[in-house]
Amino acid sequence: MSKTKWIVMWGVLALISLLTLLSLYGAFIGADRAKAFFNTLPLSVFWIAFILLLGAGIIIFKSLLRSPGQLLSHLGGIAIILGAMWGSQGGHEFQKNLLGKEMVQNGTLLLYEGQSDNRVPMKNANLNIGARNGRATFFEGEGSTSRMVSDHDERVFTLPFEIRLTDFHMEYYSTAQLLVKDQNGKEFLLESLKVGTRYKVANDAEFTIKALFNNAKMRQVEGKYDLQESPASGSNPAIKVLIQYEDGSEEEQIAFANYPSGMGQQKRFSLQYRTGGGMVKDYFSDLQVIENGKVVKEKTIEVNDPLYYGGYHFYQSSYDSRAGQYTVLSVSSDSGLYLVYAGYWMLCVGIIWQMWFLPIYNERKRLKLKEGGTNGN
Amino acid sequence: MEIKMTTMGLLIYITMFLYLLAMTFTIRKKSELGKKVFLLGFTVAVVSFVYRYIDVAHWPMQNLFEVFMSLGLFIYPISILSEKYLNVRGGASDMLLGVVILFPAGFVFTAEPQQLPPALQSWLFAPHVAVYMISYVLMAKAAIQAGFQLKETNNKLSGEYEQATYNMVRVGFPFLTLGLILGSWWGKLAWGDFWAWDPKELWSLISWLIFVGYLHVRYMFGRKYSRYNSYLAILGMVAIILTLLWVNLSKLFPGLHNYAS
Repeated sequence: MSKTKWIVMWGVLALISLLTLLSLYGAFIGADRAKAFFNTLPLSVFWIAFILLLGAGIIIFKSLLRSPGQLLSHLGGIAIILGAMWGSQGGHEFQKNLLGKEMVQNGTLLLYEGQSDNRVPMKNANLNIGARNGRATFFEGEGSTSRMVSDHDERVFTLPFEIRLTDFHMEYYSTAQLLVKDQNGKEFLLESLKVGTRYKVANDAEFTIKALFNNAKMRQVEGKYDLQESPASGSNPAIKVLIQYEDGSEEEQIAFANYPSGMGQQKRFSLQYRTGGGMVKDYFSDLQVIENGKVVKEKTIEVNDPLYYGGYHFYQSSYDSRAGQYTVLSVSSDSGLYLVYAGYWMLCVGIIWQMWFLPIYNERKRLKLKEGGTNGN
Repeated sequence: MEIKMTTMGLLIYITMFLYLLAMTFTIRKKSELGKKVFLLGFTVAVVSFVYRYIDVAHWPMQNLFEVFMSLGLFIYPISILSEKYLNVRGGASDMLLGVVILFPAGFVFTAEPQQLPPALQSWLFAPHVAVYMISYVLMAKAAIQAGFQLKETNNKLSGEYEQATYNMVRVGFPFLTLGLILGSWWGKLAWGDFWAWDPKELWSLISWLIFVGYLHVRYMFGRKYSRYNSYLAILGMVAIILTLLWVNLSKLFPGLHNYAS
């Protein structure tokens, strides 16, 4: 190797070691502080040095240029760091100042059921978000020094479209069962209860689960009493089933877990609803994107399945644990994201090519040559 | 220390016993018999994996108990394939590795079944953890070969061990990379960020970087300073153990991956 190459290689070792040590430091100080640390100015210099060294390696080492696997993995490294820098807070400020492209990097959106909103307080501004009268309000400071922040504050970003929450709901891990007894004492046990599921119970009756409630309350709606999910705290699990008979008649029946012998005594089937204490399985928010007064996109998001619109991802992040009336979404811009993903592909394909396929290919070639040699061709 | 008087525990103990028996046969120069017992142990490991899968109704890779239990499954196929295709003879050391891997599942961690929290309900869960487990077994084998290299005084044999270490790293490193990248992609889907500077993420980056360093050092010096190549491979494995264990167990590092503890 020439002297230049040695210098580059020693530089590579130095930067890899430095990044290892910095990561070690980062692992000790916790995620929030580590994130801030790796985004400071000196670290930006470090990242740029990393990119330059990777670039220098590609230019100086002809072997690297000739080997597709090595080239791809090193280009992948450059793409990942560049993409991550482009998508960082600093990258967003750079884009705003130089390109006039204004996007919030990371923010929070609190939505009430039936309401729409487009005000997104930036995460790094650390504003407190309160929920009052069906609308999110933003505060700074704690306790008595707490002060409301106006919607036009520069720390509150306004999206060019609105998001509306039509419904928020949760699913529980449940060991819930419905024990059905007919008049002759014959029992049927219905399990894995889900709204809409149909069960054949006896020869002439079919059960359909109409609704499951965690906290059921009787409410009067338009003069009629009906069971509804109550947003108030408390627990009153209930199940509503539709029973359809072969002769075409049908009836609705309700069973409460807390009052096992409450209803349906005189009917053909008596129901016992049993619930097990359930851990939350998933959170769902039914969202609509509203642009210029029109619904342009609809999606039910859940953990691991965000909504994507207008350069932003909207994640299920938190919810109103007291009354279940609002949902909290985490908003992230996709700046630089696809460059990072491209880098991931390049890195993976490059490394797999270099370390798995190339040795196999070379070995095959060697064996073929050997075979050819013994055959005297 | 926890002894499990359950079917699950019994399956793990039988596997450990068979791996130990296989090792004893191999050391006593009955390697053909040793291999057969090793295969038998693997069969029981498959049964424990399937049993757990059915019992908890998800991929048994959620907590440290399940991870170590499943790791015991990978050792046999990796040992056989390494011998056949990479010219790395594991033999008794692989069987011992199997016992060591299963020990925490058998005697340290609790087997209490847990339900998957929302963040773990993703198709990326199984591949992300599985490629990491495969890479960990491969890198453990690399570290063992590196250890042999350090102890070997014969030049020719030392060179063979050095080559064996490299062969293992060459197969394990893409798995390690895939684990990191699948994790990052999943992080973006679940948490909204492809990189959150979480302690576990940083530790896995440290492990990855040490092997990146190993590859560059080996490119620079080849076998000139074989000892340093071996030290790096062992250091990489130490970082992997810390990533896997310490970060999960220690309360010092609050982070997003804490549900695994």
